[in-house]
Amino acid sequence: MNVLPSVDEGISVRGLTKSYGGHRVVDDLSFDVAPGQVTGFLGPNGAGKSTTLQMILGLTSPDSGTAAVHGRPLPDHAEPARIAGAFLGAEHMLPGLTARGHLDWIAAATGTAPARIDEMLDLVDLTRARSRRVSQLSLGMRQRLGIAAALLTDPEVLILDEPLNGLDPAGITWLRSLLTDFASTGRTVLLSSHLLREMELIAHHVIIIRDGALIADRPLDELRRESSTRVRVQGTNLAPLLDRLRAEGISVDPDGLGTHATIAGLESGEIFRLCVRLGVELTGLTTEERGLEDTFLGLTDTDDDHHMHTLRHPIQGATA
Amino acid sequence: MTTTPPTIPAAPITARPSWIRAEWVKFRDLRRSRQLLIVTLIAGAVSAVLLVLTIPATRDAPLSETSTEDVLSASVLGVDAAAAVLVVLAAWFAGVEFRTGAITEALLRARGRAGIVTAKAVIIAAAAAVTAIATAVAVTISGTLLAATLAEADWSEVLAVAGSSGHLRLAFGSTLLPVIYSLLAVFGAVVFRSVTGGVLTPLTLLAGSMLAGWLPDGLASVLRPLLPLGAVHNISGVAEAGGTEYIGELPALLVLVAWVIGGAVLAAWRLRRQDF
Repeated sequence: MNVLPSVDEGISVRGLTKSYGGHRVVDDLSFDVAPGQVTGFLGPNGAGKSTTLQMILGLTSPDSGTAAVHGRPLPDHAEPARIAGAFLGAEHMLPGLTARGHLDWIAAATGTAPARIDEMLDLVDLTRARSRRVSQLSLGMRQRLGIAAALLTDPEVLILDEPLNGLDPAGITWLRSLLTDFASTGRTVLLSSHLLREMELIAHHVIIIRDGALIADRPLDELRRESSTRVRVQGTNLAPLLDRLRAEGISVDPDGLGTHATIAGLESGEIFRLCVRLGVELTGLTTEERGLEDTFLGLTDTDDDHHMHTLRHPIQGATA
Repeated sequence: MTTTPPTIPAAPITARPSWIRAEWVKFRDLRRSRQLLIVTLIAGAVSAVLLVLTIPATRDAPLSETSTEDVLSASVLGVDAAAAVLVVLAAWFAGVEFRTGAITEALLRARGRAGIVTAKAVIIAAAAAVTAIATAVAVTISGTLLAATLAEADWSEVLAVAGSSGHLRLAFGSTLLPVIYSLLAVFGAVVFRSVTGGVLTPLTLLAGSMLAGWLPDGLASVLRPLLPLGAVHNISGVAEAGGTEYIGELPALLVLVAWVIGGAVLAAWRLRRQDF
């Protein structure tokens, strides 16, 4: 079991494990989510993100381990809704309720003043749609209604599961402003997504999991800096070069004709010098900046080639 | 939508949390719950009329030769038809949240899950009671009109029978059935996490009451009074002294209370143990 120092504020997950039907969905997961920043929770579909969030929220019991929100399991707080607000998906609403009705019952259940409902509808730009049924709202509107419901009780911690689905670019920009504003007051934000490209726009820190286990837990800027480069080579006979690189354990990705290949883990200058030594004539040599998205895919893809790449280039700070 | 940087206002906390109020807001806001309440009243009144009009076929005697008591008691069976609709309403109201996953919205805001079950049960019991009483009044009016017109009974006699303690006990005692069965539908929907489970729970108990009636008297007299239908029959006066259902009013009331408390405890226990 991973042992990390506990924090009273924010979220603290220790050795969280959950299996369904013999399949381990979350595997000895430990991490902290600090207040004052937006933390992205990343992983491909089926990585165990939603199950982890459900355990943090007390909806699912872990087989072992603990998940504390502000120092203790969320259901143990006297008023859980004051501690954490959550959005678990646009489908988790009664389709027959009106937009206002959805917030209205939550306000009643949590003792929130009715005036807050109108403020939240205004915040998410749904005032004019207040009387429309949830089933009549677009996905983006339901996402915003769910976020309004999460914010209704003015919680200390905000947990959002795939809140970017259905949001247009303007909506993503809006959500980024909202979450940054929320976090800037010293509160905690944890949001999950399987899309790093969109998470890049919102999060300051990322936690990445694959097959329920922790892969990376670090600031996004740090991850961005470490995104490696790839070199694209072109020539009539690349075989001697590619054979040599493979023998040294360097990842190469040739096309079917053997006239083009992509090489990871070596600078273009090193490749050029190697070609001179081997007598390989190049007709093209270009450096491709490896994007954060590719880094994420490399970390989370279970495909063997990608897995090998991850093993050769481990992300520093990963504790699993 | 606007991309203006939003400012999140702080929430004033002024009211006391109330899950009963929260469930009432849902019940009031959902169009289908209102529709089913109206259907309940219509189903009760229409059934009452049909049951009276089919007396000549079911009892092999013309309506004019049927006693006013029989006409009115036949009309009260309309409350049973209302019970069927109320069971569907109760099962849907409690079960739809499990079907859609909306129950998680409630669970993550609740300190204890039992409060959610209790609140749903209170709202359904209140709605079922009010609707069942309104239906009892409607079927009595229907029966009275039919007895005085088609059955050609004297108005004064019909009104006397309709206002008699025997009929009032039958009519309003019968309203317990939709209330109890609706509550059992709520508990069934929570236990089985589905609308279907909610509908089938009271139906199974109803079928059990019918099957128990076919058992030898010794066994039937033990089982029948312990089932909800038998207990309601004791309170409404349908169960006759000496019959296999009869245990008296107070024991019958205790049996119903036990069913309600037992169902609520089971539902709360299941909800606490379930993962979402």
